[in-house]
Amino acid sequence: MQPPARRIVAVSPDNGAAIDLKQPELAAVLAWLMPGLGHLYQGRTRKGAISMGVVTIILLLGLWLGSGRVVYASWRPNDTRWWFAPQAGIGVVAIPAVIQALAINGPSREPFWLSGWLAPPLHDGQLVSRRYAERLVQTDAYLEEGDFFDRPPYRQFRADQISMWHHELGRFFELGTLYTVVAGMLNLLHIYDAWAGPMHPPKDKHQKKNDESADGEPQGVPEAESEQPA
Amino acid sequence: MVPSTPLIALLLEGVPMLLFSLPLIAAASYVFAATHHELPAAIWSATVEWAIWLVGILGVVLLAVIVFGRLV
Repeated sequence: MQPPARRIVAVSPDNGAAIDLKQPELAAVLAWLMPGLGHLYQGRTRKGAISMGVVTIILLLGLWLGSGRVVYASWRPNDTRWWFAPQAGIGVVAIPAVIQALAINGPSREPFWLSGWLAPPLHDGQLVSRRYAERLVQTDAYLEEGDFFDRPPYRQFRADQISMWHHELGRFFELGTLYTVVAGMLNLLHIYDAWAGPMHPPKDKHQKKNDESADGEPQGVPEAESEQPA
Repeated sequence: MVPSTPLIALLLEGVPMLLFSLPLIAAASYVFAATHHELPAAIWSATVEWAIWLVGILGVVLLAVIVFGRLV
């Protein structure tokens, strides 16, 4: 005889209905990968769809305001991107950003995606591949051939790209950063909700007082707990 | 300048910074409500309640900053 399947259930604070969390750990990982995906997996379709929409809109707005440059991973001295920690609350941008950062600092000296999407900015003296340097000169209006020196087999960048980004984007760099940071932090709450179900709000004070005055002891406590042992 | 048509960029430049906080407040209100409720009707009513709280708290903070900024 097979043991019964393990089900983890949360209780809705609104009507006391059971919420099947299925595999909460898997739901949490899915919620981290893409906002709302964990809820969709659990069958909490409407909540998942709206959550996905809300957080994704804020994330996309942030990326749009910041020209797609505000989410990047960098742990160099003097350029540690602390904002990436809250931004990493959304896996769909955190994973590519880490891949880009590892690739550009690796032996190939170019990001995994040559478009430079979510890649960290170049700093003074950084070596990059010829292919990536040419690509940047073609696509970035702020960069020119003279910004790269020949250091065979690489090219060496001789400017500060983060300053260029700030100059180009102005306040929108900070705004884009703020939007993506808030989106990442809000998704942490979604991850919690997918993992453990909704948090129970504190009971209204007046309601509590009324409950207590009704029969001298607080209501809402399950019978098994309120009964005294014989 | 944001990567969009010049007209949109021009429009965005003219938007007061304060207005950029509204989508964030709306999103935060919804997410706070959604993590405390399950039924859609309850989530929406709690969203409104959270939005009032957030606007109130942030408004008071902003007012304090403006007042202290004038005094100093």
